[in-house]
Amino acid sequence: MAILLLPLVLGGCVKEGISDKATEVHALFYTILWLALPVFAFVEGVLFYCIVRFRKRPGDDVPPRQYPGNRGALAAFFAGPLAIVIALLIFGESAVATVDRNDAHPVEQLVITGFQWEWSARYVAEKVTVTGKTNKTPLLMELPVDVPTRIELRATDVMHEFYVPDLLYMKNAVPGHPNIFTITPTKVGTYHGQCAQYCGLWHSRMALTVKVVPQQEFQRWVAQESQAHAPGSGSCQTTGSAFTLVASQTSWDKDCVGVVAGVPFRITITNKDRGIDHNFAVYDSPDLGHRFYLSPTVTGVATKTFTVPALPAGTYYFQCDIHGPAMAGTLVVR
Amino acid sequence: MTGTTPEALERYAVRGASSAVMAMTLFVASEAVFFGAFFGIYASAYTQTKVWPPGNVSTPSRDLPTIATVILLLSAVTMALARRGARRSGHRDRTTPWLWATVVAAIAFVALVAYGFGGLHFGIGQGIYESLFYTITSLALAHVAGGIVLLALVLARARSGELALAREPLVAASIYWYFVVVLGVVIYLLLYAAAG
Amino acid sequence: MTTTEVRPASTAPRPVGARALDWLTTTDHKKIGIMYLVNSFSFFAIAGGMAMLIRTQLAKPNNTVLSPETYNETFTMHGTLMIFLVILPLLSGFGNYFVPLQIGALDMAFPRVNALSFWLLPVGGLTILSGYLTSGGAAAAGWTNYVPLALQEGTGEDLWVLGLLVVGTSSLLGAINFIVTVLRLRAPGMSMSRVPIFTWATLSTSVLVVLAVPALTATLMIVFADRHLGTVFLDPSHGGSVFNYLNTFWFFGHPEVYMLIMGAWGIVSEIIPVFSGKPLFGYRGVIAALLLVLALSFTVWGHHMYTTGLVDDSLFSITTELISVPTGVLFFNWLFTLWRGKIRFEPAMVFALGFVAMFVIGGIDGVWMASPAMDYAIHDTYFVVAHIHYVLFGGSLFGIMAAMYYWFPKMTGRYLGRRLGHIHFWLTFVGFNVTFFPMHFLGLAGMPRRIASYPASSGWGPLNLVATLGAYVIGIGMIVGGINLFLSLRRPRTAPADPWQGNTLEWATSSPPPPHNFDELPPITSERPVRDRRLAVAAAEVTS
Ligand code: HEA
Ligand code: HEA
Ligand code: CUA
Ligand SMILES: [Cu+2]
Repeated sequence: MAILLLPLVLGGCVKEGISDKATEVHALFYTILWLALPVFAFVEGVLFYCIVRFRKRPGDDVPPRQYPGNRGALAAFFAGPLAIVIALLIFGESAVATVDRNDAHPVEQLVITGFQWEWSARYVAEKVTVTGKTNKTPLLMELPVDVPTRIELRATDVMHEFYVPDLLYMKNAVPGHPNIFTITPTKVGTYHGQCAQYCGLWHSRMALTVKVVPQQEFQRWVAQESQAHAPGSGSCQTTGSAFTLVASQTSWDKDCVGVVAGVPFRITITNKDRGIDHNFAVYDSPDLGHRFYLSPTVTGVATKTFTVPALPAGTYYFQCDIHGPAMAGTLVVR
Repeated sequence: MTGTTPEALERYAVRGASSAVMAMTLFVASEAVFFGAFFGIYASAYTQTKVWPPGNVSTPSRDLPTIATVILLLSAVTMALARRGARRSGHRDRTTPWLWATVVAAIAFVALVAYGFGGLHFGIGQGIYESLFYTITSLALAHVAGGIVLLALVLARARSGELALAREPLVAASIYWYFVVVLGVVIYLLLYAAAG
Repeated sequence: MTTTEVRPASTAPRPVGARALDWLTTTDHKKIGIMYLVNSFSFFAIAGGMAMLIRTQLAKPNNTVLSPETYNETFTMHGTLMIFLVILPLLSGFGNYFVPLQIGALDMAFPRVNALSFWLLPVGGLTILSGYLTSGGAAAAGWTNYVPLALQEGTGEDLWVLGLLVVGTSSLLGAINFIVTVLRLRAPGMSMSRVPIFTWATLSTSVLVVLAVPALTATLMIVFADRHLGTVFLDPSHGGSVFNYLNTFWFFGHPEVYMLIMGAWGIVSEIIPVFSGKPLFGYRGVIAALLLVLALSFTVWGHHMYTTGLVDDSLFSITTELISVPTGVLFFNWLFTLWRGKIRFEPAMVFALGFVAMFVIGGIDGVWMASPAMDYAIHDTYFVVAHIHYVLFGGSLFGIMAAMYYWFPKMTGRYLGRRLGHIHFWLTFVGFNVTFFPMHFLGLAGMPRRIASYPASSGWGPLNLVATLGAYVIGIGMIVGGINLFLSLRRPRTAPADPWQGNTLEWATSSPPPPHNFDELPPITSERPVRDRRLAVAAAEVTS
């Protein structure tokens, strides 16, 4: 058993951590290890010693001394662990106080939203939203190194959990209860992240990639992303006053639809995601400034048709409100 | 060597005759936790809003429930009298009338509360208060109904004269009944009185 | 003179139908106990088989043995069955058989209620499993059944809820029965300070059941009501909250895990003294520790919600860490019982020692997770899976196996094979560590639990392969155990009343005991009445 535990002692099993808080947790792991190891060694050691030393020899039929224990020993049994527990608590409470303390002056602000089964990240000041495609490409988000970043976690359908092992940190995304925390990544690199809260069918694929980059590079990336996500120029054909959208694996089959201006139009939604809700909402822009329309939810598998009131000509943004930018596109009204 | 024989054990086990009372006490304890779970949800919802109940609920009228709760409290008194009657003489004639009174009070309670439901202007799914209201009250009504059945069983025993021999069923039923009465009062306070 | 062959009624072979009817209608606590064991071991074989599927799927990256749908159903059913239909009922089964014997009673306080508690179990279990027959498949929201996910599920989820309501009722009735039995039916002389530890443990477990299972019932009802009756307890857009589920569930959930271990503590506290030839070190201290754990276990539930941002982490951290103290007392008492003893390595004892060696690892894992900052890094990872199995398999199940070897002669009059018993132990023990120890490292390396597959780039492949191979070794070990059971049942009945030089009253009657349990009880003047009588008899022989 001791051999099995050796790698633990030799380290290299708990991650180093890529932020100040993570380093704290890294250290806490070893603090607990050093407090727990004597307990472990004592129990296994005494046990092993007894097994070897106090086995009944053949032919030895003299009963051992019938010692029922004493109060002093019992008091020691309580006192010993209590002392260790107090030490554990002192270190533990101070670590959690550090980790839970939110930076008072965060520079970057993000809203990260989890939904079945993808993440989206909105850079609040930059007005840029990035997302992934379920089962195709995970979310790729960049963070500037050494910059305190405030993250607000949300969930739109079920509970998820934002987990980046190298941050030695995870937090639940809870529907109806945004969670806020701050991090300051200190090591440039590319890190794997993954939803840790079981969230249904494709929980195993709800991954994300966090790239911690130098600050200039971050600015460049943001600029590039906001280009890429600029409202479309409206290049798609109008299909008259009705169109169809098919949702499957948390994606629409089209990213641009066109209708004629000034008359109500019909939209038919086919939801192929079993047990998953989708809806259809029309906004002025990806910043969701003004909402023109929101359809009732369609729970998969189902097909439903709704009528949208007439809209003036222009370029609009549409999305599924539950899955946000992961299911979004441009609505062209001509 | 002197030991204990099964016959001796059998005799000894008669001591266990009040097992029914102990079992009922334990059952009531578990029921208290069961309702406690809902009251916990109530408490957490209550502390999270400034106005209680949240939203624009047209709160239920307190008139009928107040009368019903008073009747329920009276039924605890009649139950106590039934117990006393049984202790005094062990004769059913001191017990049966009070048991009947308790049953009548219980039925009146159920009828009044159920009738009060007719005057409600909210649905079960409108908000947390509404959900709690319907769930807790209907669970409580079910428990009162269960109590009526229990009392009926005790009455049947009283008729056959068994109650004169063993009071345990009566005592057990009374423990349950007291629980139901306390529950009724708590519900009145939380769902009707506090929702003013 | 003509002799008509008349067989004594008792030995006449009776038709199978009549014997089956006997079992179906019995209210004898011993038969009910055995039915509990048979039923739970059957569910164990199912849940263990599912575990083999899980391990097979995870053996290599991007494996496709199970689709994600099936995988999710499989681990949900594995966890649900193991927790609700294997461990607790196994402990209740031993409790049914041995609590009345240990306190010198004729039966449980309410024999017919007892039969009902048993029969509810297979009904509930099969209801849960019947989800597989519905078009949407079995429930797949994990054994913790988190909402809102559980609200999206199909009919299988409803069957899961209903089945658990039935199982919960069974536990509740059983627990009330145990408490009344222990408090009221003890033989003359059997004061509470002489009651065997296993009985004390069953009593504590039952108190936990009475005060915690109703919270599960409420939780299940809430889920059902939100799914079908239109309530909004869990719907944040209408003033409900996910917190309402988490809080109520874990208020039950943590006491639940102590329900799964206390019985095993009791078993080990019986076996270690017997096979060391010494009294339990600090009998009263053990009882005090049990009661402290009982009380503390209602104060720690928030440690399952550290990462939700919904509870006060540091408060729950304090209560959680404190629970290590009374648990530690138990360990030291066991160790000092061994100290200077004369240890006999019967399979029962070997499993009990295995328990001590393994449960301490699971307990210490718990200490890491109890520290919130640490838990932020390992919550919902394979570190937790390692903990679960070190406490539940290395703990509860090893205890149950020990009990099986210890009490089998009493229940059947036959010994369980010694050689196969040792093989069973070693295969299980080695396989167990090879399977579950690496999971600590997987967790620290960031592998989340409940994932149907993982990419090769994660680097988790090799350790998972090791774990899978280990699991197969456990499987072989369990099959050896099964064979041992099967072979032993065909051996002649050779076990005497007291095969191990036991201490407690179950060894004062024949193996198996007569329907009325005891022909005669020894006088009870200490917590080791059978040993007292053995010594008295030996002394009488010497003087005569
Ligand atoms: C038999 C069941 C059992 C038992 C006995 C325990 C015992 C303990 N458990 Fe465990 N636990 C589970 C079953 C059990 N657990 C399960 C099933 C889950 C997962 C639920 C899910 O699916 O999400 C879980 C999850 C779980 C979590 C949540 C983890 C997470 O999801 O992130 C935590 C966190 O604190 C925890 C802590 C503990 C602690 C501190 C103990 C303590 O009681 C342990 C005490 C014992 C010792 C510490 C060893 C002996 C002591 C000494 C030798 C004395 C000296 C020692 C010291 C001073 C350290 N458990
Ligand atoms: C007592 C509880 C218990 C036991 C014994 C086990 C036993 C095993 N468990 Fe289980 N496990 C849980 C309780 C338990 N588990 C729980 C609560 C979860 C969490 C579920 C969730 O996330 O919701 C879990 C989750 C879990 C996971 C994580 C799944 C995931 O998160 O994706 C894994 C992965 O490897 C696993 C593996 C195993 C293995 C290989 C065994 C093996 O050791 C099993 C070996 C047993 C057999 C092979 C049976 C063979 C039987 C026979 C041959 C018959 C013999 C007959 C007689 C003895 C009469 N378990
Ligand atoms: Cu999202 Cu798991
Ligand atoms: Cu717990």
